[in-house]
Amino acid sequence: MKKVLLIAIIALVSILTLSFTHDTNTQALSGFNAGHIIDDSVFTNNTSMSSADIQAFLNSKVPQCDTNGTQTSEFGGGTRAQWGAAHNNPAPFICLKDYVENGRTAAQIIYDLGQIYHLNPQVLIVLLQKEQGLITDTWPLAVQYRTATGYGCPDTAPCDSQYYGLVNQLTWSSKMFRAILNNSPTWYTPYILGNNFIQYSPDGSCGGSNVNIENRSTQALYNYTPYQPNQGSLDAGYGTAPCGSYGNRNFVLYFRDWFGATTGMPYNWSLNSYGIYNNSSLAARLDDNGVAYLTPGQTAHVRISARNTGNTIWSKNTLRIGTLNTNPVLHNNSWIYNDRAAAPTETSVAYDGLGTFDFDITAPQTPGNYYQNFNLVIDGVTWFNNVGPTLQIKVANSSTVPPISSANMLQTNTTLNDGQSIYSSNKNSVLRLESGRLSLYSNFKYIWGTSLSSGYASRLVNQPDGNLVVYSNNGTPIWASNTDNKGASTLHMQSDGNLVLYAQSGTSWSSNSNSIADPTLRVNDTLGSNYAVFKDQVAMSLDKTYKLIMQPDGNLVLYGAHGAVWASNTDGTGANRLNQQDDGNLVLYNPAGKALWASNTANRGLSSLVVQTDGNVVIYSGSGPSWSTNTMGR
Amino acid sequence: MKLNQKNTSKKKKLIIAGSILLIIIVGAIGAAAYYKVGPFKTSDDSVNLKPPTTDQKKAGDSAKQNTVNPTGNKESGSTGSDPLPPPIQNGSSKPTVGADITAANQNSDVLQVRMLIQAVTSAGTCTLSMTGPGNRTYLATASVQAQPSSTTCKGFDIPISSLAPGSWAITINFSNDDYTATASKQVSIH
Repeated sequence: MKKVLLIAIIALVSILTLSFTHDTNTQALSGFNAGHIIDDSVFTNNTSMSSADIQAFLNSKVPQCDTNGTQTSEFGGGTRAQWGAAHNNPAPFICLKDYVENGRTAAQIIYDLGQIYHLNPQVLIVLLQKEQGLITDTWPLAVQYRTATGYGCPDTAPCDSQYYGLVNQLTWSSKMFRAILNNSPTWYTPYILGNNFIQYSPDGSCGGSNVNIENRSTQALYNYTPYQPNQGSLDAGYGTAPCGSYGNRNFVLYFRDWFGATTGMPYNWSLNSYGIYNNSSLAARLDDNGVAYLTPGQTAHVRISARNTGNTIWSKNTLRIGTLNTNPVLHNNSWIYNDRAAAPTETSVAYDGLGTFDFDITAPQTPGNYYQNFNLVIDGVTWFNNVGPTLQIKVANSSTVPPISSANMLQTNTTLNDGQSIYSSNKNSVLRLESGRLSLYSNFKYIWGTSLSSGYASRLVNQPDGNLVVYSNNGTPIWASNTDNKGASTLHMQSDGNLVLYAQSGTSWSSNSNSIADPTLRVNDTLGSNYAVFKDQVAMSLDKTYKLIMQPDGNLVLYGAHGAVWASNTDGTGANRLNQQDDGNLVLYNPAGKALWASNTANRGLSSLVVQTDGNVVIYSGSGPSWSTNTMGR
Repeated sequence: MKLNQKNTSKKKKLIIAGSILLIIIVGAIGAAAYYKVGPFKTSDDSVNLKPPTTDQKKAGDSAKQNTVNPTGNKESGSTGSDPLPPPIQNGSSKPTVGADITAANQNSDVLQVRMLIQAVTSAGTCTLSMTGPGNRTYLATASVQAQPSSTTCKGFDIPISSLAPGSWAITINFSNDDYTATASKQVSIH
């Protein structure tokens, strides 16, 4: 019986031991591609971890910190405290999970830099480990933080103190990574995309080989550690080998062990924009809120802009946009095949590049609602992982009249009163009646308005006869579209900035204020002279990280990735309009035209307000910057 | 009676052994569930929250040791997992550091030449000299930019129109107040 019990216990312990230690065995690194160490899409995945996730990760890697250095030193010389003191780095030893600099934890610092420089925080974590072992260190020395990523320590002079500390070190590393990812012309690197000679070790006599560097992330990693591991280093796992180098090998080992593969999906994409237009010159946009209204058999033009988020370079010769169903309802005879609408306009599109697909569609003959999904495909290889856009077409017999009421329309026999607005569905354009004037702002820019000298406008009426009339407060018409013979119509504030009156027979009047030739290229990061932002409207940086919002509470607030970073503090004052005036002054007004806040930059002449991708909002006049929110990097 | 006592003692031992085994199993399962390892390891866990392995810690300690006790030429530089080798002393002249011409690629109408210097400095000048068919020569200079653990010449992008087709020998010399470096490469222009 005893024997049976003993065998059972030994077997159980062995099984459990094997199960628990399976992940800790030293493994050779296989599949290391010296020319493609990590995908750009993985390297720049800044949403991989929140700061709380990072903190939990750091906690897990140092279950117990030896802050006072009471344990025996791994390097000899007594206790860790004694060893540290003998090497000018006395206790206490602050572990990374407990580290705070200027009120921010290490986790928050890593997360923030990932967002600012659009880098995967996991890359920064692995960098700290491979350069200084800071992630797993239970008694890190002050000098390890001082040069946490080894940045800015020239060989013939003391380390430059401007680079000291975790924040500075990580910031400079992130800056360098971003500069190389952006192929910055002012940041020189020893490597190019293509063929490069790379040594196996810092010891030149160990030799090296030519490496075809395929992407910017790999180029950035070699910029940090200019050596490739030889086969011995790869076979040694985390260990050492003759003529070995370990920086880039350890980068991959740590990354794989802690966060997964360094290479992502080859066939990923994201939708940048799409629109349905009257023709290939994109003269007028037909869709709004994702719906286009077409007559039976009508041909329309579609432009889809797609971003390559995978690690395969798109080729015009092989990539197609198509439909999964072989008899698509919107098929047009100009398509490449029955279910393949078009190839990209661009010859090739690398990671993060944009591919443009231009093609025509034909509305079915039978009235009704039609939906058609499009996705990218490389025939004979694969459909892409992401689901593409679904175009919605409403086919009506006699017109393209948009139905029913919504915030972007003024229905027939309805009135726009003083203080009311019609916004385009993208909120970039507005028709507003205020302070006796009817004004049209197309993509934030003032386009047209009634004059007070003609009368004090009190209401805009979309009459049942099809005429659009502005009446003064004494009932006198002061402006009309002169479309009184068109019948019931709908006034539509379109996302392309055009204000259009649709009658049963089609367009009866328009403001011709389609302000952007190509709506897929529309930007709203810059407000030129005479531009205005009304309440609920948003101007945002090109990368959409920073948003300047004219809030309904009257406060003008700049939001970054982590919340508000600047405000005019005018909440509750009734402010509802931000004007970039032609005298250079930026002013917040209430509906009565009273100025409530100003940048005090009048007399600077024509100026522009720019919401920059670095987080700063700046007014530029002819003589340079005249005002800013001073929020760069926040 | 004796026989009965023996049986009771055997039973007790069995119960004790069984209890110990049960405690071990329950404890092991509990620990496995807590640390999400073994049978409780979930496949969608993208972040590994287990304590570091001995190998990972050892590799980290090695980087730490390189910082505190560098094998390189100064205490505060040469950090990380691949520390720089010390410069080679050349009698009374300046010491030499390692260097490579990392790239010499003809990219349509430009020859891109890049240089890696195994030292960290932002001072000094790179001088490129090329000798080609018919002893034709091309000369250029550039300043340098420090990298985290190396230095590079600020890139030579040479118009192909300046070079005749054929084989060219490239030599880049780097020099500053403290050391020198040199590297050569052959390239074919077409």
